Amino acid sequence: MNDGGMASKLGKGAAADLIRTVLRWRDADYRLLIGGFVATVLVAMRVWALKLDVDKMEVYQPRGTPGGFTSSVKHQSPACADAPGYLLGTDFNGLPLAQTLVEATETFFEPALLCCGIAIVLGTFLGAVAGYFRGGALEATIKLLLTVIASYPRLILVIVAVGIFTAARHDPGGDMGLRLAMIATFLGLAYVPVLALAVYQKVGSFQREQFVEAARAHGLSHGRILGYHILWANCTPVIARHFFYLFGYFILVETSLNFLGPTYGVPGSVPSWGNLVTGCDKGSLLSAQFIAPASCIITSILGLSFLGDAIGERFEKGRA
Amino acid sequence: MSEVILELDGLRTYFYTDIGIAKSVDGVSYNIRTGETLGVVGESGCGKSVTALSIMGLIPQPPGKIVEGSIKLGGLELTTLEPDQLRSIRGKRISMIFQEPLTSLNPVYTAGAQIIEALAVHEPNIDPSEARRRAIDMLRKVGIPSPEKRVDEYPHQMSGGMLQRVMIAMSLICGPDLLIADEPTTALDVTIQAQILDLLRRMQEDLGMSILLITHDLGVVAETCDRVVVMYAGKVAEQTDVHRLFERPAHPYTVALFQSLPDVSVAADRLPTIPGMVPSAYEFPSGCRFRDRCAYANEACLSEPPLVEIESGHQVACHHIDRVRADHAGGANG
Repeated sequence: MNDGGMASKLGKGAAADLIRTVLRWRDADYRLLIGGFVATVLVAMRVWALKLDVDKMEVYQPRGTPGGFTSSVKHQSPACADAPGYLLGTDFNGLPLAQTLVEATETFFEPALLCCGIAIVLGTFLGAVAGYFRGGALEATIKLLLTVIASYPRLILVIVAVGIFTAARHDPGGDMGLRLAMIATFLGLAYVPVLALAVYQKVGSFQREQFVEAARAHGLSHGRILGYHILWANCTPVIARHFFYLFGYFILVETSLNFLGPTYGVPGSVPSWGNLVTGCDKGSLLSAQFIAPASCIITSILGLSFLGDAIGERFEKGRA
Repeated sequence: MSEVILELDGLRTYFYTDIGIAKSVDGVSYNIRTGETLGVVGESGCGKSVTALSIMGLIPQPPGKIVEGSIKLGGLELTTLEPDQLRSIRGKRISMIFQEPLTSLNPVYTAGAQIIEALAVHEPNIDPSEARRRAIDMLRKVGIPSPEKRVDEYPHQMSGGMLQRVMIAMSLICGPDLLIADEPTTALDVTIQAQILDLLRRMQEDLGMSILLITHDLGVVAETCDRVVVMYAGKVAEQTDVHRLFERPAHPYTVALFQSLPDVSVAADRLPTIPGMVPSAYEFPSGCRFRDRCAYANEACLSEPPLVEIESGHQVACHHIDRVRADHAGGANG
């Protein structure tokens, strides 16, 4: 056999191996892989952002501008797509865009966790209590409360609440940490009915299961049955799924509020993916200055939704 | 005669729903003595299980409520106990096993974890290794092979018979005075049924407990019980010892139940049934509740028959006891 024939055979073998590998990957859960990757990158960016300091970032000094930009003129600087030595160019503050994207995770990461925490604690508690103690005044009261909150669109509720809060303080764009905590709190509260209803239905479906009846017959307390046998054993997939949905939803809301101006969102001086998108003028929609933060927003929301779905389904399959 | 461990007196448990009041248990009285097995038989919906849940304090409230009557366990009135006091009795002094062993165990936790949990709830200071040892011992007692291995297995890794044994182990781990078995063999095949009934009998001898066996299987009653309560439409129709019930039934409903049993020695095109339907718990007829289905019914049945003692330990609620006994003097099928 000549060398050409051997190479051809080896090539065919490698191609067959590759096809087999791809076919095996067909069984993999791409949502888990993509979502896991996105979540890992987000966490890595947030950790990296802890080491960054916007005030110490080097501001781009275009050739021919003596003295370059100073911190006092930062916010009037045009975004520069082709600043040499700056990956992705600079943002409209004249700061390196790649680093600003990383720094911007600070704006949503902890507030999103706070938002998820509020929604999960309150939503799980209310949904579980209403689902477990069905048919009484407690269930009726909780359902009424949830219905009232759920009757307002979530984003509108957050806008109104943040608007009232800002007006009461006479301090638009003041304490950014407090503003973000407010957004997180109100969005968390607005999301409570969604999670509570999901937990309510899940707990309700288990409440008359025979193993719950048997647990009662063995003398277990309501708290033990509800917490250990129903919530922990059977509702964690629902809660995990909503955690990732809400985390992504917070990024979307934080971004959306920036379009409404400094009364509701994050002021332009604060690095934020929403600000980077909002700050782009119409002419730069195809530039890295728009595409990079927009991609970060879309990828994060999509990836977290994938992860929520995949983890929820895996938990449920594992426990079925 | 041994002492009475459980005494029900005029128990009424109603369910208040949007479509009316379901009088599921309507004046039930019976008792169980120490070490005795009492069978409760009757058609579906006659109030057997609701009576058991009332004893356990597990009636869902609302819509259910014990509106009247008394339940005494060893002299202790259960209907007036606080929920926490009642919970401390459940599992420790009264335990219960259910019809479906597969759904009676939480599929997410191992058999051992669930037995240990049932023990730890009543003995909170027990050492974990001691609790595990006792769980393994109990699994061995109920006939689980290789209990050291099985203790760490999940419900889906076990057969129906083994799961029911695990449920029995869970129920007996605290050594209760009374075990309520709500159709414990209905979901099992015949050979396993016999094993489970035999196991219950052995455990009863070992622990000296009483058993309240709820079933609709008269064969199980004959094989297992000392005394029998026949229930119909939320009331006691007849109660007596098992031999007398089979030899000289005195209530037309009891007779009809026996006549409904298929007889393999007789060729029949149609199996005998009791005509009519069980009345709805929302609208029981006044007077005798069996009168619409009873061959002996007459004007007298428009008034409610009291539960009378026709001989020592034999109580019947019927206006036609003498006619029924005369017609069936030769036994249930006579």
